[in-house]
Amino acid sequence: MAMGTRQVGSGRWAVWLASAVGLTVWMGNIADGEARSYKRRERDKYECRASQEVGSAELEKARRYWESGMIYFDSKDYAKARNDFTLAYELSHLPDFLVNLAQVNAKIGNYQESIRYLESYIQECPGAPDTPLARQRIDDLRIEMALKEGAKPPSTPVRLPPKHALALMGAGAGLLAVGGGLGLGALLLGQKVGTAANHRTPFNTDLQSMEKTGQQLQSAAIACGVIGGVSLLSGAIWSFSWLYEQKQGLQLALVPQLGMGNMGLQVAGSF
Amino acid sequence: MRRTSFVLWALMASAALESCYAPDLKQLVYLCDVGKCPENFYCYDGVYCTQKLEECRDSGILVEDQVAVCISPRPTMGSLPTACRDAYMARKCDDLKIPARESLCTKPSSSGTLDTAPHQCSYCCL
Repeated sequence: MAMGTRQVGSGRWAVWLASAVGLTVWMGNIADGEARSYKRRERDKYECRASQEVGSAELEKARRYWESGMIYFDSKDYAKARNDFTLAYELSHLPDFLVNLAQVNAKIGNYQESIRYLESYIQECPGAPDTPLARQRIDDLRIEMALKEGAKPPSTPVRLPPKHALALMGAGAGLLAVGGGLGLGALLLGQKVGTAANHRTPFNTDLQSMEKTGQQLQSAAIACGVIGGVSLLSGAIWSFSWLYEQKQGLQLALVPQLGMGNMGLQVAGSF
Repeated sequence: MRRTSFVLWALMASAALESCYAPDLKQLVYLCDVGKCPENFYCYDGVYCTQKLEECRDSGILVEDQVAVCISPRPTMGSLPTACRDAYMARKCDDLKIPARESLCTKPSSSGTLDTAPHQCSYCCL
């Protein structure tokens, strides 16, 4: 490779760009998806906007990153190539690296990023002869991206069972938990009444009240348990039948049948 | 999966707790308080809280499964040797933790000492 020996001075980065690093504007390679190769063409002054000045040491480093990036690019290791091109651009701010970054991102499938780099390139070098090609490439990438999006299977959102079924289950579980708490209270009162320390003591009003409270707590606990259990079970059956229907594509429904002599549930729907 | 099994265990524990007012009255003898006794017990002779039991001729308390301490009025003639029903035998149960027989047949007197009540008590079992 013909490495230039020109010294890079202030304000001469564009010349260095063309001759020393050799990142030339190659009209063909934006459209064909290749990274910019090592060819020479000096840019005219009007092509790109003036960029910040970069020291020769940075430019030399950028050149090395560009070289290794090209090797990775040619061996189809696009992730490493992208890294090196990114570092080269960060060091040099040369707009041609934007084209390389666009190409390597397109290879990886990051179309959005690729488009962004090409847009930056057009912004940096509005007078460059390859800007129409860059615009064309952006359009192609958009089409490619849209085709890829369209090819993806439509994402299926996670569908939860009906809210009422979940609410029924939640209420059932809640009632069971409340029942558990009440039952625990009853258990503790029962232990207090049945403690051996009460041997040969009169069954006084305190103990009578404890017994009464314990029995009331137990009744409430049983009521909560029964109602909660039935709710939870109904909600679970409802949810599972709904999930089964979704899986099988069936249209089934459990319809309550309320009538004299024929009360119950009826399975209805198409099988 | 782990969360689901935890929830199931919690629900089962809740369900298990929901019928738990069950004082263990096998290890103690309550005295009546103005005729009041725990549920399923009644005031025997105005002093003891006892139950009607299958094992006892008159009344008593269950001290172990199928072992009861029965109490009956002491017979004036010697015709009824134990407080047990005919099908049940009186036996000695020295290994029981609560000396229920003595407790049941000893009532507090007004002087603060324990008097032997005019009853006979027996451990009864099949």
